[in-house]
Amino acid sequence: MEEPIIELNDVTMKFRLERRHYGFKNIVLHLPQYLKDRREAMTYTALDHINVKISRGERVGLVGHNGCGKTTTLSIIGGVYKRYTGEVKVRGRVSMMLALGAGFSPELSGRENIVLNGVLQGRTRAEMNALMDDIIGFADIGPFIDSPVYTYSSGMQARLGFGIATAIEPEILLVDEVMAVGDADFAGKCEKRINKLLEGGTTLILVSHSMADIRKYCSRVVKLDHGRIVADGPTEEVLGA
Amino acid sequence: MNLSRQFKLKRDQIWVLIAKDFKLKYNSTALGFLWSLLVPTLTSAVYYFVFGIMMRFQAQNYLLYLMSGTFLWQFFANVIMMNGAVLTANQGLLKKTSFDRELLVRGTFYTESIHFLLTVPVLLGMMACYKVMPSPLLAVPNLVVSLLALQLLSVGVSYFYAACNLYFRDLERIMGIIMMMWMFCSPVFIPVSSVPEKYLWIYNVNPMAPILQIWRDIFYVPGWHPQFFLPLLAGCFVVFLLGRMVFRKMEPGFAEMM
Repeated sequence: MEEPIIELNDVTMKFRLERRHYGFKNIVLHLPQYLKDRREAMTYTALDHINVKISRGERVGLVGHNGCGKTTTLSIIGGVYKRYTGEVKVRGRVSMMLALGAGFSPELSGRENIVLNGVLQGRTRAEMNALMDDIIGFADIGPFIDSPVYTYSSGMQARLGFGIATAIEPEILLVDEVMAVGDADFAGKCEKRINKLLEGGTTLILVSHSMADIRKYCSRVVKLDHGRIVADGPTEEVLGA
Repeated sequence: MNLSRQFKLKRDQIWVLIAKDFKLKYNSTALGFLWSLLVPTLTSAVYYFVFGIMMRFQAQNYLLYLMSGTFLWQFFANVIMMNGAVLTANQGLLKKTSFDRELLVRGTFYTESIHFLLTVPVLLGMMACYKVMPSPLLAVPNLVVSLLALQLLSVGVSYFYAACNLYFRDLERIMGIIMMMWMFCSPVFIPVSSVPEKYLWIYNVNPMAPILQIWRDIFYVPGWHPQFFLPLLAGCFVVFLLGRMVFRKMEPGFAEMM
């Protein structure tokens, strides 16, 4: 059998919880309290011994309440967070859309950001220039394409970001809750675009609170709760329960 | 991914980061590019008034001494100071893409290099005014050694500064003071002949002193100090390696800190 394209073995990720920030003055004036806080320094376990294997071409939905570790999981697969314990293996080119306006420089125009974002995600400038028309056509935001991205509405940012993430033909596409801001027209375009990628064998991991979207795109659902996997199986089995 | 593609990609990544820096730096300024010429030139004018006219430092062609020193120093200092905020300034990119973070620090160096290169014609013009003729044969090795040493030193310090500043923001203020002290401990506008003998050791341990000396061997009084080359490059290389080591050690935690 082929090796899984994504493999998380016993992955745990902890964040330090900052309760209060101590400056030098406060350390001196409140030494006992400071030492106490330090001793009890709390960590937040965002992911707790996660084990997942995802095969090439699978479409996985990641669901769970706020703060359950969905975005952290995507960030680890995408190589943004690196201080975890356990083992992560990603065997393919990743494209991420982790948030609205993610990986954009707000002062640059849409056109400039297409190149910036694509190149930082591992495509050369020549490749991005070749994809330019396709992305602009998909985003369909008219003259705004030459305006700075900070002037964009959230819908426009989603259109541009999604256009780039899908145009660079990733082997693994990570999408975090960005389709929700678009209108019906955009939702329809996204569907076509994702389906085209999926037919080409792209592996999809979709984070969403919209069960309709999850049902539409995903054949498998992983449900997280407080950093642990509480369910993992075919979409209807997990969501139906 | 094959090596030539890897190389092309790194090159393009540096390129887009530089292009972004340029667009941001002069966004909505009326004079734009001209500032990279005006700032060092006007700074030199202020120094000339203070040190040349009011304090009457004695050195031949003092204005040229001052300008050659100030231009190079500002380049050096800008690379380091700009890198202090390079990670926080690119927060949006760092949290959402996984490109090699070292490119940000190196990118700042290249951006500043371009600004710096624009000022070199001003220096050449001043040399013409003072009728100083560099010997091209010696100018080439002098140029290569001084700029290579400056690159290793500034990028090395920047790696360290950029990474540590993320965890310890006080460093920004401390660094401002350190850079000011460093400037006064380097022969930027104070001629070596005006330094009391018992303090000359400072110049012997400060890598910026030989860098400025070699630089001025081209742009001030043509000269040749090959005895500096090897120890200087070796020292700067060590700083570079140490800085990069610290950066790489801390790099995995960057995204969480923002």
